[in-house]
Amino acid sequence: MHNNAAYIIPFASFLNPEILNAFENFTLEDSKFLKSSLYLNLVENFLTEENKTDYYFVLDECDRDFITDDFKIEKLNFHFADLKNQNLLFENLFFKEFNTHKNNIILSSDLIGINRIELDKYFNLLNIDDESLLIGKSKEGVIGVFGFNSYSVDIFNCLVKSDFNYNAFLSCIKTFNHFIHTLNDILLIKNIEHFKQLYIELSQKKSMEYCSQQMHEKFTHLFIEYKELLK
Amino acid sequence: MSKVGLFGGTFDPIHHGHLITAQSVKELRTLDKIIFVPAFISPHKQHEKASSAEHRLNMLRLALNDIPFFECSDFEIKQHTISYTIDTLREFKKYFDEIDLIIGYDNIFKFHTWKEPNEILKLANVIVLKRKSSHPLDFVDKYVEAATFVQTRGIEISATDIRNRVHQGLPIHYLVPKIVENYIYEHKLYKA
Repeated sequence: MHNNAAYIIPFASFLNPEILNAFENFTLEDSKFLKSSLYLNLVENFLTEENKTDYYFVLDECDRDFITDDFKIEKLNFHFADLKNQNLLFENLFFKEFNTHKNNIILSSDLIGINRIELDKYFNLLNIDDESLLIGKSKEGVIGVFGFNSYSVDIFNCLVKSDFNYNAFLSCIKTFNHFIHTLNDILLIKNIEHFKQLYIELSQKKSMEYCSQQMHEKFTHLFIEYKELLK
Repeated sequence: MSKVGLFGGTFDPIHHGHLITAQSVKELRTLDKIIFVPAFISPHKQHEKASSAEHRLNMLRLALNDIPFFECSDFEIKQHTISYTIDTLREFKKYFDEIDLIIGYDNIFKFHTWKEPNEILKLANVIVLKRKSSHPLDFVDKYVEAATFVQTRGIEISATDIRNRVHQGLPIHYLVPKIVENYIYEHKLYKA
């Protein structure tokens, strides 16, 4: 077991066609493809040989019977959970892991722009004696990265109560002594504006650092399919 | 949309604790900038003798000069009267979409005694500076409930202590920016 643990969580089912919510005007199949590609991009970035981190990849319980071949990766075991009940997820599923790892970071699976080297930098920010939180938030103030170096049920209650809204979370944690590090303008792909931003980001050479050629091709398929939406 | 923090106080003198704290708040609240607003006379410190407004303002300007996201406003000083936060907020609200009003930890528990506290809440987000050493919440009223508490780095520097040290001839290196330290000595502040 390592000191650091990262949890990749989708916060909703995205493989089961009966439950999956369509992404904007995308077909259900393409919505699934987009969500899967974002998720698998993180898997690809994090699952490398030289690792100082334990990874926990989570999927919704409802997706258990709908795993596609893309997700059948050697040495990769998924944790299934009822993602609608986030309190239970944080209190029960990972209670042991949260307490046995020195530093923990939860990442939303619709996050793009992070690789293992970046994640190590995030962990370094938590690697101090004082109780600390690391919060990565999008331009709209949605929390997509949440790290901590001491587990507290109350903190997670605030996180769930705030519905991952940064300002609401900040106003909830009145009595906590945690020092907070913030990462601004992380990119979470949640609507068409973000999809346009994804297109811009992946057009830059630098994106190869966090998105392989193979993954680029997957996203390019969507960019071509929905080129009208990119205007 | 412009989002600024208003940091009021006597700033007699401005010190590194103020600057570090303000930087923390700027980061945590994702503010465009922080505007330091020295009071002409603080309603809470009416009976305390402060350095002249001119000196306090000059020291602030020197300290903030090179920092792009910090500004200083002479609005309260120009009023030449007791500085009430609500009046300052009404003025700044003409220019900024969203205002974070930055106050010290103990102030939130006296907030109900401030002039027009409910109106303040309508015009600004109240941001309370908290340190690890801060005592637990005294009580929770609607003002505490509405406020956002931000944990700042534990830099325990006190302006009173700085004034006392100068008065006693003790060094104040590292407590204030060098340029402020020079100003204090050059103008023989806190000697009387």
